[in-house]
Amino acid sequence: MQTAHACASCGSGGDSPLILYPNEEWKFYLGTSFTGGYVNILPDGSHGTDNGPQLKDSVLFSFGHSFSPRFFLTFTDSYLQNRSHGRSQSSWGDPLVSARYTLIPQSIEDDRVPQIQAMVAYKYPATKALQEATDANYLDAFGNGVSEIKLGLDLWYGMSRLKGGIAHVVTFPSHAHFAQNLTVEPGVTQRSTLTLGLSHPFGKILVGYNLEMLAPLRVNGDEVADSREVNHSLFTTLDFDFADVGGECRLTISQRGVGPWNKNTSQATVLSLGWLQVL
Amino acid sequence: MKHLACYLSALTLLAACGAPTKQALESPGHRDTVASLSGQHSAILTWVQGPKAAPNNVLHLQFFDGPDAPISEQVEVKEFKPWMAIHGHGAPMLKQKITLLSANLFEVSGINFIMSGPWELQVKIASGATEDSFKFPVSVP
Repeated sequence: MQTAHACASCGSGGDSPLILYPNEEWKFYLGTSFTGGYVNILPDGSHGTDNGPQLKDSVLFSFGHSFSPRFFLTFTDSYLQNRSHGRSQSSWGDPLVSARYTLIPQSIEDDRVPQIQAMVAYKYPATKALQEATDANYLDAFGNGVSEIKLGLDLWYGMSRLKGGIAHVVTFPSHAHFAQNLTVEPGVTQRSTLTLGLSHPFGKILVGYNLEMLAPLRVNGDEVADSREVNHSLFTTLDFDFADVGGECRLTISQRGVGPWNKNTSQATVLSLGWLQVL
Repeated sequence: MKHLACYLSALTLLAACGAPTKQALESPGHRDTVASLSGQHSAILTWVQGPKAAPNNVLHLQFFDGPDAPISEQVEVKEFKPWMAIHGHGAPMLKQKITLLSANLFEVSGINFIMSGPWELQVKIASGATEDSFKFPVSVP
């Protein structure tokens, strides 16, 4: 007997790769990603040279538990490696706890009703920031040194073969104190994600666009001129369902810093491969 | 001594005449004259190697009283810090070295601009009991 199975949000708008369907109680994600092709984008949008890590690899894992059909929590952490000129350094990443609550569930009776989820997350600054790094290529810098609270909304049409949605996440950073009386406070980040998807016999394919904007940085309480950041990126995700074993394989390719409208950021190519498993 | 004073004055005058605007610190041989934050001192910065997004930039710094008078007491460079304000971070300084070449003329080597963009060199000096600071804007290509 075939059962209708609404497609949950792909989760591309959040920072955790793990999304639980209403009928899933425990689930995990284990994946790896490779990031390279770094190009520094200057405040005027032109390209410069980046002498930081040439390649960044990571192993990402995430555990999730549903407390009800509408509410689930996930815990995400990573192990990171920075590589450059034959050298490398590794570290654990910044852990993230995320909660999602479905405000409006999808309805099998009316596929025009979108699923709307609210998201809240907290990132703990466990890793060394750029301001603390000492390596000549900053191989020992893995995070931004600040804790973050994220609030988001995710709207998703997943009932039909053609799917789509939009998500918006706002990140509120704390400020970090470093040596020599240096206090750095990154600007508030706004990230919007637009996703379109299509089911296929083996799973689904998704394409999406991200716009990420950071408000100006503050150093020792003063706003830094020309420090606003803008990054446009595109991504494609292929999901392959292995329903028999309750698993799913996910391959994502994304390109950050696409087009001429980026500012004070970087261009990079990311390839990630992961496995999602219902327990 | 009189001839030496004339020679140094002529050299300083030539350097000052050739000094471009503060933004033009972008290739070896370029030099700039910057007044200290207190206004009591000035410095001429000359790029020997760089500036570029690489770990081996080298420059010379010469300090003066006022706009061009030699400082009678020996200057000590207490801090030399590359700073990228738009990102809120500095540069790795483990291999940075400050060497006294002659009277109040220093070489700073191993300056590591980790990426292109607008940087600032923050310099603190001490001369006798006096301390002063400089900020040199640098556009790293």
